[in-house]
Amino acid sequence: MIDFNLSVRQLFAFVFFIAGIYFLLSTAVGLIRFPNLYTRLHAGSKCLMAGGISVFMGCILLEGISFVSLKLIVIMVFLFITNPIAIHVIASFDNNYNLIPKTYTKEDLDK
Amino acid sequence: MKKKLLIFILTLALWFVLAGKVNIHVFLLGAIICSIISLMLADNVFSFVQKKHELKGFFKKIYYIFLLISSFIYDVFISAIRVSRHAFEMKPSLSSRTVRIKTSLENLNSNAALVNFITFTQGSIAMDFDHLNRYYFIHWIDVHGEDEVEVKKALISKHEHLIAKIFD
Repeated sequence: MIDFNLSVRQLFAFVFFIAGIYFLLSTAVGLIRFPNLYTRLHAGSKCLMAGGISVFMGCILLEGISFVSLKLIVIMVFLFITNPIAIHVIASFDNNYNLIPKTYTKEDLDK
Repeated sequence: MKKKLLIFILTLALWFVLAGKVNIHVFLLGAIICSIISLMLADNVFSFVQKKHELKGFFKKIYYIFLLISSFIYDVFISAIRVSRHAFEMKPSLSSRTVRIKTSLENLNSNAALVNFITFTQGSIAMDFDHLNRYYFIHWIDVHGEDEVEVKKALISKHEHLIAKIFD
């Protein structure tokens, strides 16, 4: 007999996994295709975070309420804190030291 | 010294809970990590605790934190969908610009929380922060007109108010 709860849980988990794969793939594609450092950082922050949340949520749904789920939530919180810090440090470093050449648009601030 | 010891014991207990087993290797690694954490954070952690709020204020803060986190997760996904759409376009139609926004937040933690918000939401990245004049330098990826600028500024201001209610 098919367990209805398990099937629904697995269905939602796979939806989360597919969304996670899409966001993580778009991170990789964005990092390659976007024209300059800052736009690449956009892909590296938002898409990576959304992909990470989706994959972790899928794992938590498959695992159910358990100790492993608690560990996954801790990892997710860690990702929440560290990802924007890393992105901010890279952007700040480039903004202050101008190590990587970039193209300015007319709306940008006068440097 | 008491603060450091308290932080050390609490973090070591959390370490054992998350490790799921107790042996000499886990204990040694945990002791090293927890001692570093307690040395670094002992002075700062207790300054976060504010005793001026009563029980009602505490529950109000919990409500605001819930609002903040739910808004955060929603905005992360909306923003990720927009950026990923650009990534898969045949010719990415990016219209990026750098702007400067003044903030009214004074607490260091609230500024850090707002930077996290800006970096994750609505196609924006916090590039730098001018501590003297309290300006954020923000990079936007897809701003096509002045109306969108105002909308994005209003969103940042909304988050700023929410964060001010929690930290300040």
